[in-house]
Amino acid sequence: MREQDFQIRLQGLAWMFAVAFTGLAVRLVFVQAIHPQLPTENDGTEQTIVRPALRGAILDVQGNVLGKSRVVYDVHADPVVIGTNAAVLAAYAAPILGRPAAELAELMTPHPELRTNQMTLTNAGLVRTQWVRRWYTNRSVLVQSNVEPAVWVRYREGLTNVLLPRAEMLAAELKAGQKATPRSWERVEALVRGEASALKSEKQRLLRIRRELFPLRQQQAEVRINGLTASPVEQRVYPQGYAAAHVLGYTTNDVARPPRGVPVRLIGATGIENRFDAELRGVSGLLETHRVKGRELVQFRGRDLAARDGLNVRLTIDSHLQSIVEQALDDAVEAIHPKAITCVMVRPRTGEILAMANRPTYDPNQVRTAPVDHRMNRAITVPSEPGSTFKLLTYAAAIDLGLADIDDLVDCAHGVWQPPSGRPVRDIAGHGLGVVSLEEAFAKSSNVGAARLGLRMSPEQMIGYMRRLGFLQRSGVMYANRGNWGGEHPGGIPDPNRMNIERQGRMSYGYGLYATPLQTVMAASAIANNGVLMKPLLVHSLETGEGRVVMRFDPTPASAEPAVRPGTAAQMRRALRAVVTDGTAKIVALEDYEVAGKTGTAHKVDPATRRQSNEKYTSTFVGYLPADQPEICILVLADEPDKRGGGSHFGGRACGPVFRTIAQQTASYLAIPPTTRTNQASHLAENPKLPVARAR
Amino acid sequence: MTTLTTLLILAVGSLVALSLTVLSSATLLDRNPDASLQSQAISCGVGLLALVVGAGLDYRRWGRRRWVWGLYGVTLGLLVLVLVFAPEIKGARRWLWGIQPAELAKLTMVLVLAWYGSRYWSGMDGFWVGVGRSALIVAPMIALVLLEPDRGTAALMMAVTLAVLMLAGVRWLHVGVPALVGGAVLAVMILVNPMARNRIERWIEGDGYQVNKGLMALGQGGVAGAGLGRGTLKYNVPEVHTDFILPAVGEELGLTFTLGVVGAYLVILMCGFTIAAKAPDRFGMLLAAGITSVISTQAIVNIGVVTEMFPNKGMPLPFVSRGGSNLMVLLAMVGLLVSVARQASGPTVPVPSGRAGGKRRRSPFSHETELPESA
Repeated sequence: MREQDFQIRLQGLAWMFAVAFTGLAVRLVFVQAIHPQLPTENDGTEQTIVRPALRGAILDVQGNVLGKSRVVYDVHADPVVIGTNAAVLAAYAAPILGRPAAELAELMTPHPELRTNQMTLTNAGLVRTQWVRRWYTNRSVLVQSNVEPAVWVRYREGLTNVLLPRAEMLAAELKAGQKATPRSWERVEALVRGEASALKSEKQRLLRIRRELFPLRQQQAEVRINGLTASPVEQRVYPQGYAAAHVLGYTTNDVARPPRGVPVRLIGATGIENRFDAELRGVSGLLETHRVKGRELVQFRGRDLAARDGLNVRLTIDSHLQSIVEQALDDAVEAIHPKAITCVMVRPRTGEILAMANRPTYDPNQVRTAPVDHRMNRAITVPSEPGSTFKLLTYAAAIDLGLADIDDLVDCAHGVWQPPSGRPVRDIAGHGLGVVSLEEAFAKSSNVGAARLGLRMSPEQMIGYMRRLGFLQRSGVMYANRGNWGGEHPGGIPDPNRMNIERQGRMSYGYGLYATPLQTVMAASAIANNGVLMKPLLVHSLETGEGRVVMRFDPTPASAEPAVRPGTAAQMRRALRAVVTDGTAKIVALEDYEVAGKTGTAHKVDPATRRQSNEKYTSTFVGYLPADQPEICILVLADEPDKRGGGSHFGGRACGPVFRTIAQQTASYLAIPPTTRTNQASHLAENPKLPVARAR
Repeated sequence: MTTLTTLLILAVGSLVALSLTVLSSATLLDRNPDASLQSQAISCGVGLLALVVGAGLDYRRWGRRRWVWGLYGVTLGLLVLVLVFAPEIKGARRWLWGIQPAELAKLTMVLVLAWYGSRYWSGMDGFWVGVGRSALIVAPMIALVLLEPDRGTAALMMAVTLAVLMLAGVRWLHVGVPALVGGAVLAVMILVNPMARNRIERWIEGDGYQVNKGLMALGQGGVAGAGLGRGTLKYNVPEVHTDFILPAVGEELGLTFTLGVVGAYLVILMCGFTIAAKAPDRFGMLLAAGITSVISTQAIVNIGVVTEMFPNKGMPLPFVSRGGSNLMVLLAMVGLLVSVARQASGPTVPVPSGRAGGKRRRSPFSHETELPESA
């Protein structure tokens, strides 16, 4: 071969390669620039993770937790993934999740069913429906809810070694087989000895095992990762059980069945949970990122917003006082078997509600089991005819209008008086007062006295004073906005335009009108507070989780000018004091404190006869202490107390003892200095440095 | 010649640098990304050392009989050892103590053939000397590689053998017939092997998972690329750090860099064959051409597979794919190329001894005739 030929061959080969490279370059241009084959949608790595905000807590005035959120897990099973491994997985998970293995296995077993669904098909503008039969299997079965995070971690950690006995067996067999496989020279020797077929069949056997093992391993990993999955769920807990349940309210899920992967949000359904939902809820954050094979590609992190947890709501309620009230109501239910009983405790100077409780009640931790009427906050939602406690208003109005003085005499007509028109007014049997001072008529709760006083003023004047003292309107105690009053009832007068003497007379002693317990206690507080009606306060402040106060709710008077003049209030306080010293409520007198108050006993209207019943009563006692410098004002209202078994339907006898218990314990908790002269000295001797009552 | 070697080194260096850069991004999600990158860097260092040493020494030192046959024996021994001792990974026995003897076999084969072709160049147009004996020389190595089994490397070795023999002066007929026979054997092997057949069918239908994902990554990169470390589709490509590294380059750095890679191979090709043409002797010519053929064939097959021009066959992209043995051997080969180039431009370092070393300037293809028959 000539020298040139070598060069030609060399060049030829080089050109061949060069052409091939050029071709590939062209192909690359085509693949990347001219006709790129792009993924159909996103590449499956994009993810937006919601970072849920934790709902704020509800605290009492001291910072004790009344309601808060925590994260638990709902564990779901995917029967399709688990498949034939249900028994093994169930046996493992049963003791951890606390559910019988048989039950779990049943939940994990796929139950395919043939369903016939109606489908709407659109074809060239023609819509036609047709029935389609398809197989369906549930891919997400709730196995256990409210699983503690620690329990879930225990489940995941123990999972590595327990699954698929078949896989374990095969792995062991394979390992043994590989160990026994002859190596290097042994193999050569075996071949020489003519054992080639045995070697080959052993190799085939191991190959078969491997072929079975590989998918099993994959399946095992799949079951481990997706067999049971936990989704975080926000759980609302109320550590003090039914204490202040009606005030707190409860939460529900925002949607009944959220789509997979979307965290359930709690929304407040009633009470403070509902009224302060926006503040409690917080703002959830989000993280936009990419994720491949379970790992985050940090370089692709987009928006990363931390969640802002909800604000804490600090109530004016003191959980100690609340528990005193709850306990007293429990005892009262035992003693007088009322259909319902309500107690509200207010600080008259500020209008702060220190305790509010109702029976029947419910445990907000288990709302679903409670009947709906147990969930009502009767203190603000259920008005009733107040009865004698309303005389407070009649007397205050008359004195304030200058129509009477508390020392004026009034003829109570021995219990029966015929007003200018309508039916006669009767006192409750046994009173039978003659001509007495207004103070005594009030103390002994004469209907005749109240009616005669009430009829001295015009109906408009009476209604005007009702408004000034907070009746006939909602107080906004539940922080109303946009027409949502939190269930508060305004009370009212049926058909106020057809007023006549008979009706006005009956209104004077608390019939023919409706008032909620809160309205009654606020009106009494106004008298105690020198005639200034305060707005009822239930929320002290809104705070961040760290305790920084974001918003404060200050005590404010309900109106710019006092409801009644201070002089009127002073006269009324004398009358209220007289009720306890020598009136209908001697039973509530305390050893250490001067107590003032008013009883009320109202005949209920029997729905069957539509007339006043002599069997069913609403019994009330509203009072405050100390009489001179009122610190707390308490109302106890029992609906239909049972007078059998030694009970009484009279306001004083039915509710007085309840009031007495509560007042006694409250006064000592708040360290109110004793006011009765005999005990003042001893109290001061025991507590020389005791401050004046706990004030805000 | 200085320009040629400079260009060659630049091309190889850029490919190696690109390799480490892209690998660091492609192995990001591995269980231990640092370790794999470190081992690659170490191989790279050893390879560069081999390159420098190979470039510094006169290549003719290796063209002596005892070197050639010694290397041949060592390679065969390693190939046997790997069959006996190597653990089975993915159904093949290829790795022994972390190296692949088959990679060494490529170098050995080129060296042996170059030596043989230069030694018996005058008889190469005869069938027995030209094809028969050379086939006998390379057959054991190819057979052992096939037994691993590593069909890709075996096929590459066959192709390079044909190329080198052709350059050594074998008649067309003598090359053509074995090529046809080899092709036929290959076809039968593919038809018999279900995996290979499956790959071919998939290629024809265009639904190979790996290739499709690779094409998507390439397409996603477009002209400009997503930016280093900002590719996401590459994580879906199996073997993205070894055979399918080009899609990672394409997705992150774009068409500019994939074309740059092809350009770098073209530069290597051009340099390699120019060096071969200007080699001081026939041994150098065959060695340079053989080495360049190995590099080019690997690159062409790899890029062709990735761009769906060929059916899927595992073949690393030279200098870029992860794989220590491959990189070390390739860099050592480049060292030999540079050495040939340096000898062509006149030795700057006196060659200590050896028949082939000469201080006289010779015409490229003349001096072999002066060698005695018995070397």
